[in-house]
Amino acid sequence: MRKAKFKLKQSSLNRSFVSAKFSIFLMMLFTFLHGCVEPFSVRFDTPKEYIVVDGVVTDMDGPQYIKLAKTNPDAVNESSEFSQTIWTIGESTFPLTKAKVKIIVNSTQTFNLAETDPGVYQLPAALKGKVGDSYQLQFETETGNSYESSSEKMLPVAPVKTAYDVFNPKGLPNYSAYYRDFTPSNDIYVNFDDPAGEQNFYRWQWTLWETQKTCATCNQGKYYLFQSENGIDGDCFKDLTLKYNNIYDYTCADLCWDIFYSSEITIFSDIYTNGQSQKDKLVAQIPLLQANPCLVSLQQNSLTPNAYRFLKLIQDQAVNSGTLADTPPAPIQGNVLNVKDKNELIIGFFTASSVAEYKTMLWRKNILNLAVLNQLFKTINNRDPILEERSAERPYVPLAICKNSRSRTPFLPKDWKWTQ
Amino acid sequence: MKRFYLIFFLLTAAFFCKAQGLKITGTVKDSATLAPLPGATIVVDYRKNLSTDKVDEKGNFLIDLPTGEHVITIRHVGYETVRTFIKDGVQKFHMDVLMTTTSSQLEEVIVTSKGYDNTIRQPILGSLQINIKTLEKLPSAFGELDILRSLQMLPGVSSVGEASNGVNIRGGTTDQTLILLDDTPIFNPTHMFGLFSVIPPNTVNSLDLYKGNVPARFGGRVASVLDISTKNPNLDKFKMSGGVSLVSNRLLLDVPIIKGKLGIYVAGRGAFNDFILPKLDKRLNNIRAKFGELSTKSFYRINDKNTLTFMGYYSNDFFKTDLLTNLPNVVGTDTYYKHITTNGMLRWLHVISPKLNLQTTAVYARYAPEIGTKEQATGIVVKLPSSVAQKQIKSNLNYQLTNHKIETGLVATNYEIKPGTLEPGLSTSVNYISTPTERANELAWYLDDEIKISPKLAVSFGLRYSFFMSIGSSTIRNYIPGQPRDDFAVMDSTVFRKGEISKSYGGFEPRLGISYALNDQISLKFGYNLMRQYLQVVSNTATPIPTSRWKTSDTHIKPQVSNLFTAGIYKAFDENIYEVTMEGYYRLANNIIDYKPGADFLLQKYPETQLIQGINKSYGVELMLSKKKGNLKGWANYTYARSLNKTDKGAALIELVNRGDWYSANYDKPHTFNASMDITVDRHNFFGFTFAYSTGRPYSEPIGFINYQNNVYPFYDKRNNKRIPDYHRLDFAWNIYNPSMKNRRWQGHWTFSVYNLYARKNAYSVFFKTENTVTKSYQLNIFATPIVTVAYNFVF
Repeated sequence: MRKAKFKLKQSSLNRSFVSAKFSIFLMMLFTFLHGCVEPFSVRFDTPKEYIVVDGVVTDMDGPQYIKLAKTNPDAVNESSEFSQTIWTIGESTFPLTKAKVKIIVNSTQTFNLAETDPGVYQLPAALKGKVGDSYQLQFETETGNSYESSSEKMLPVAPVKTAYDVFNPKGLPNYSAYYRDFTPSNDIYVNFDDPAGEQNFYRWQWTLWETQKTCATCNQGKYYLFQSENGIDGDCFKDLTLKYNNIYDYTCADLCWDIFYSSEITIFSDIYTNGQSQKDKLVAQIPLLQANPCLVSLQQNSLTPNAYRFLKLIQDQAVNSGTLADTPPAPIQGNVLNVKDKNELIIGFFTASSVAEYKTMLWRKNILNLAVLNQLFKTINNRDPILEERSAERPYVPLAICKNSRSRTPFLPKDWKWTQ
Repeated sequence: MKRFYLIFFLLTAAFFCKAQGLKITGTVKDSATLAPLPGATIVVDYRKNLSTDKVDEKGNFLIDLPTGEHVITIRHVGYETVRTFIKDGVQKFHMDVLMTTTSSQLEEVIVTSKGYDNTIRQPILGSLQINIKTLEKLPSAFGELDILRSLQMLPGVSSVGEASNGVNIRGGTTDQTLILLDDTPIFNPTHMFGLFSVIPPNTVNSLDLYKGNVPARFGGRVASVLDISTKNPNLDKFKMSGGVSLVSNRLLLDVPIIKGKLGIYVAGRGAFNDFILPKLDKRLNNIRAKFGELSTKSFYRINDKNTLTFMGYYSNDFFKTDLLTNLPNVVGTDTYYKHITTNGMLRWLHVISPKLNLQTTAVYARYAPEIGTKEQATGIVVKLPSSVAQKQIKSNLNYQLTNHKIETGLVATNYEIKPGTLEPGLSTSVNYISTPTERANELAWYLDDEIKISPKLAVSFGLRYSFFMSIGSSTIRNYIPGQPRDDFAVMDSTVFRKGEISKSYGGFEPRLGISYALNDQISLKFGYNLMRQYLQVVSNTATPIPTSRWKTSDTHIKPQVSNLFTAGIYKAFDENIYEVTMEGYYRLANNIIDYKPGADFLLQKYPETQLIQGINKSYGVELMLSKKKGNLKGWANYTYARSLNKTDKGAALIELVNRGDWYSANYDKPHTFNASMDITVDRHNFFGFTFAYSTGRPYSEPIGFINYQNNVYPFYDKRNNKRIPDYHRLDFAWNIYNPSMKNRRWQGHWTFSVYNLYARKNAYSVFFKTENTVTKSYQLNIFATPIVTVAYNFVF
């Protein structure tokens, strides 16, 4: 389904309302009033360790994870001299490892989580979220401090009734260096019926699968295949005969998909529209990384009131425009507390979401930039692949293996279609 | 026996009266306009204790003196002083004084502590009377005389930034200052989101700022009172004045209807120059920005004992653009804001006897902001109107005794707040949502008494009793004690019928001022105030925005109570040409209001869930040196001041700001230095300079970054943990009065001014923006280049 292009404002997607309205206006007005925005130099460090919790239990299929981290008290954050960007010297956070993590369901059942990667704790397969159940996170750090979240009840979510996409040539500002100022996007709009008689909070997230032709990049090195326990494997090996800035890219041996996730917080509350049918709601902007057809999973999530409040705070602080009509940033206390010291600031949130998934192939026939056909590598890296050429010593240049990870898969994504 | 006889509030001394006497009668008027000058001071024999404060509304005065040689001095702020010598043996003396303004004569008093001669003598601290004519000569941005901006040159008056919605006086929030325009409260003092103040300068007669002792006749705010009184209409002669600047056009028509009895004036100011905006910047193409005011005042002298005064004021702001985001949940094309102020005042003055008069005033004030968004699909405008209205009736009795000046009165006030209604019109995708109307009544009684105990010692004593009732119909929630006050902690609710009192508060508000003169030149003063505030702005922004919500006290929101202690030393020298004052203050305010992290007040039915109360302590020392006469006049002041807040320990820990520690208020700027200079070149040319310096205001800086949900976000530990760079600025103005140099009725006045002369790039704010996993730090500068403007004003 396709519709005429809307003259919709990007800001309507993710800005808080009244104060943001004023502040954007003030920005404009002040700019006109001989005002200007300039870089401001800052240097600050984190005075102590803060625990960061990132966890959502959903009713989707597939493995689910809770991430725990702690901030690095030795990290120094400094704005660069030439751009306003703040760089962190040192890691800003470290994984919080070796914690004993469990999830309590309905205050009765306890499930222990297993640490699969440093700071990444996987829910047992037996634990899949269910609407109406309540979930609580508890964990104990290696040093013996105990933390627990509030109990979060998984609320139901309305399904997506219809969705359509509109090509937006100026969709995402400052997204990819290849496109410079604006990266075009396929903007996804949804229609859905908000249930009457109850308060609903929504969040939209998306996952994008794009076909990738280049699977490995070696800096001052070359790619080799070798036999490993799990069969044939491949990796870059350092080659000091090459210049230190030498780069070689390697074509994929087989079909490969890169996976992209939304990073914006797109949320909605039905407080002013309870029970109404919602039409033409912009919920996702899929960057035009190449002109090829791609698979998009749009997830319409339910949120608990507290999770909505928390995300809204994070979002509001991120889009501060600097006028006095903004809400000044402030520490955001999540719903996880130290059992013994309720004064400790814990960053992040633990919650439960029911997900209504809407999966669709984007055929991208409405786009105008055909120059980016098969150019995923280029739009991401802002250069063409530099392939290692055959040489006497390496007559056969290997093809790279498409390694399964969070951001890449060699397996045909579910619901992928080759033809319309 | 009549010891003395003064028409209004005349103050005289008892020991002065003898059986055989001299009766001086007279009138005081402006030489050019013949308008009566009721604010003039009459000093007898250079003795400050033999002066009167008041001349009646028609400019008449009457003094009884013993016969003998006398020198009568008549002074008025902004006018040339007049002196007359009366020979011995005269028993009746009449003088018609025509005072010339300093625009044609060069003698001038700039800003004076109230009552010029009273700095030393009066038992009132921290009160300033500001001469509007002085402000006219000071440099101003865009050629618009702006009272709130000019006030910030005085010690103890500051703001959050150059475009902020109101002023902060001695550590108070903007809504802790009561701004009265002829007794009507002004709820939003600025146009265009803080750029211009709403008070039309050409109608202002006098400005009194009470930042220390506040007389008991004022109540309802805990920090200070800015009492603005407008001019009275001219009863004798038609007059017209006006002006043009880049921003606005002004006109005032003063029409006597029945000569000597009834007069009216109408004044307007309008800014409709928004058609210029697109020519300056294409991005401003679809902006409509207009504001204007209309004010009128009429005065009717029914007879010698009764007068009626009516004042009406209307102000309107309108702003529309497609650059803004829409009302929540409305998919729209453009959004507008407007806010309208409608104030009215009717006053009846009844003179019972020369020593006693009764003044009854009815006041109506309404402030109504509105936001509207035009729906994309249907073209229907979805509106969000809200309003705050205040109705008041008060009666006060002034009584003049030998050593007392007594004023007592009763006030009844009704508040009605409509916090906002979402009106979908015919739109089907938005719901009609209404918030309950808040109603409250306040009753107050007050008594002010100024007692002269000895020539050296004077005391002003005030007592106010205020009683506040929040009334139904309303539904008040009851929350589980000890838990965060939110939607989840509701136990049940109580329903109150229409008119039923849901909660009441009240108490005495003592006010005390003591003045002790060490000699003719030096005096010491001490003051104490207790004030209660039942109506406040709740907002989660650094300065309230025009649509910020007003809230009366209720079951959950306790009234603010402040205790202010002030002490000062005053010295005048060189025949009052120079004056040095030093004042120190300490103020502790209870139940101040702050928002919880993440608070949202829009269409919020239970704002108590978004608020937290706490205490504020503000203290400071203000040092001011002024030179009041000569070709070079001006002042310089230095202030050290702090304003710190702390949220209540009683609340849940999670809700406390900065974990319940003291934190700087948004306008906490420890060091301030201001200087203002007015140089008279000749009868026509005047140069003005102003310089302002202050410590940067606090802002919140992140302390690190976290990876959260596929993005990187800064995180914060404390509110207001850093300060923006220091602020300083120099302005210049060149005023040319009557350039034709002919004494015609039409008098023109050109003002050429440069704001921010040396192009200091002052930071208005520092902020952090996260986009695509990268956080950047910025500084927003406004007025970062010299702003040159020319304005023209005329009087006819």
